[in-house]
Amino acid sequence: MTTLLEVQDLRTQFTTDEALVKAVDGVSFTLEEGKTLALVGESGCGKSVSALSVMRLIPWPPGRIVSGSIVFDGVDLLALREHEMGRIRGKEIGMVFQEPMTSLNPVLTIGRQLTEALELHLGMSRYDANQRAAELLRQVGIPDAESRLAQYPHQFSGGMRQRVMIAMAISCNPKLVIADEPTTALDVTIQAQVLELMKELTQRLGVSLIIITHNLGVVARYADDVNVMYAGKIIERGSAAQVYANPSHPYTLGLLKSVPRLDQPKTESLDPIQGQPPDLGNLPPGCAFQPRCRYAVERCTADTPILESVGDGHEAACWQIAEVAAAH
Amino acid sequence: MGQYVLRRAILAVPTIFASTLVVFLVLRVLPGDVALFIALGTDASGVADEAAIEAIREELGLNRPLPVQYFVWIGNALRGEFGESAFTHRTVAYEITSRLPLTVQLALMGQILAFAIGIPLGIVSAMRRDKAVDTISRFWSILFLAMPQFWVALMLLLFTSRVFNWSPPLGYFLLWEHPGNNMLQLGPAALVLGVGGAAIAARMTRSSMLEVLGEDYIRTARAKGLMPGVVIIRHALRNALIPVISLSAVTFAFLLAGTVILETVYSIPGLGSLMLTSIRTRDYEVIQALVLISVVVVILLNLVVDIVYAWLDPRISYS
Ligand SMILES: Nc1ncnc2c1ncn2[C@@H]1O[C@H](COP(=O)(O)OP(=O)(O)OP(=O)(O)O)[C@@H](O)[C@H]1O
Ligand SMILES: [Mg+2]
Repeated sequence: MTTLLEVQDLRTQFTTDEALVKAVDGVSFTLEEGKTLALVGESGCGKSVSALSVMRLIPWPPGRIVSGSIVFDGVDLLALREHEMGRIRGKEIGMVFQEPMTSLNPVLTIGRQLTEALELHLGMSRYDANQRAAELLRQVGIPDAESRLAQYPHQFSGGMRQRVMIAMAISCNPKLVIADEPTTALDVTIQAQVLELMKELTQRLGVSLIIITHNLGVVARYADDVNVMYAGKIIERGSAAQVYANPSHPYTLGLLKSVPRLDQPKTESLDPIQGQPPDLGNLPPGCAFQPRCRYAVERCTADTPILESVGDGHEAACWQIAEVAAAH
Repeated sequence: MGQYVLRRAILAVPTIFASTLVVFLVLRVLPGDVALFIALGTDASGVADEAAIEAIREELGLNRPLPVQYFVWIGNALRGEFGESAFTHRTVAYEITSRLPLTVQLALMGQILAFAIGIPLGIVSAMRRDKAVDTISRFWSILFLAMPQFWVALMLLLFTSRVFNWSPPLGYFLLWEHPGNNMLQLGPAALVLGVGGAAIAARMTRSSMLEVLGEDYIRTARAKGLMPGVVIIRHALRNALIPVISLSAVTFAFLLAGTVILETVYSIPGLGSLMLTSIRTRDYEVIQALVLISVVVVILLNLVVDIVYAWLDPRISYS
């Protein structure tokens, strides 16, 4: 099995008037070809910033990748020049954004927005690109593809727009698709359809997938591996099965307990995590989760825990791993 | 579309009537009337002979009650008759049509210069935000917004006459009869109008461009691997120009107002200078016709802008 993406000690920071926001703070992960990796965590923990860092789309000012390395398909992305990165974006890595309502250009037709990447990366003629665009729309389940191409984004519903975004992301046969909460903005019935579509397409086309979500149900169903993020760091990682069966970080445990599970008796009541996610510009010393953690001890306020193995390829960053394991 | 235009035209009727009424009343409220100026001479230096003035008033129909005067005027105007100047005794239609080409040309040249300078400047400013180009362009914008146009015009006139010993030719030159003299006469005035308009256009383009560059769809465009130039031209520009274009009807009205002063400074025999002289002498028929024209032009302009707007922004449809 070959490694497609290897992120090492990535740090991305935003300089705001009030503080230095360490949105991504020493994140490392690898993605094997053909696999699906889920990035999970509460709002504001740095999931989107991680994804945008891989695409090198962090807006400067105020944001900047300050250190680390991102090796994609053997190429160090952080060493590329801007125009070289332009050959990776859209061609090798496709991205689906969190906000389908605003991610399409309101004054260009859907067709034009699909064909421009095809013309740029695959050197297609306008005619061929149009044919291919129609085929892509059919692939993502948009009926009446030919006439839809001439329409504008406002003539599409949210779910349809997200399908267009997916079509765009896969249009140039990328090796990797990054889907940043592709369904958060959609209503529940549409969510499942869009996710199924992504799963089906990536499997059929052999594309690797990074799926960002805060829905653990999505993880269980669609991901091979999981990275759980908290305050800019990965605090637990492992295969989806391992993390489900044996959550080793109190935060992961908390996440699992805060959603209803079909594999548990109904009598078990929900137990959401107390408190608010921390302010990334002003983190407490030690473990960032410690103020909300029911297992916290003295040490957690002083030393920052690092990832340690808790099983085959399963790691967690917590000083109280043994207590957490004993408790469930 | 046709229906939309028709609806707008119908809506314009009350606006036009209201404006004629306002102008009519304002003119009558102003101290002094045209009879006085005719009797005394335009500089009002003569000695008033009440009987003579009264005779002139009688002749011009100024002794009739105001509502009667208004309706007589409106009635004639509706039939396309705008009367004649109380001073020159030429028809108002002649006075206006002979001067119209100069003013139209001046305003168009000013507007084209304003967009041709202002929009690119605004784009570059936004793309190089807070860099030297941006700072310089913003400084110039503020400067030209702050300086009154008549002053800039006078300074330019002074500059060319002192340094190059040159001033624009005086007289009446139509573009298609005397292109050289025409451009020399209108050029400096158009330039002054243009840089003033460019200052506004640059500021609007810059702020609107900055807003658009922060939009999600710009990030999508970049995520496709498009070159920065393509992102700007294909994805950002059209969106950024929507507010600039929709405000241009208003800025063009300001520009038209500016022609009044510039025509006077540069002795251009256009509508602006006609307006000024006729206000000074209370030449009612001429002023009323001029205001009527301005109102119609501004209304038409708004309509044109709305149509361009719909073409730029597919979310808007007038059908
Ligand atoms: N342009 C920016 N300027 C300043 N701070 C930013 C910017 N973008 C992101 N951040 C900060 O980076 C942190 C991580 O943001 P990010 O968007 O990655 O969160 P997320 O995990 O994707 O959350 P969500 O689930 O809400 O999408 C946040 O604290 C946010 O305040
Ligand atoms: Mg996000």
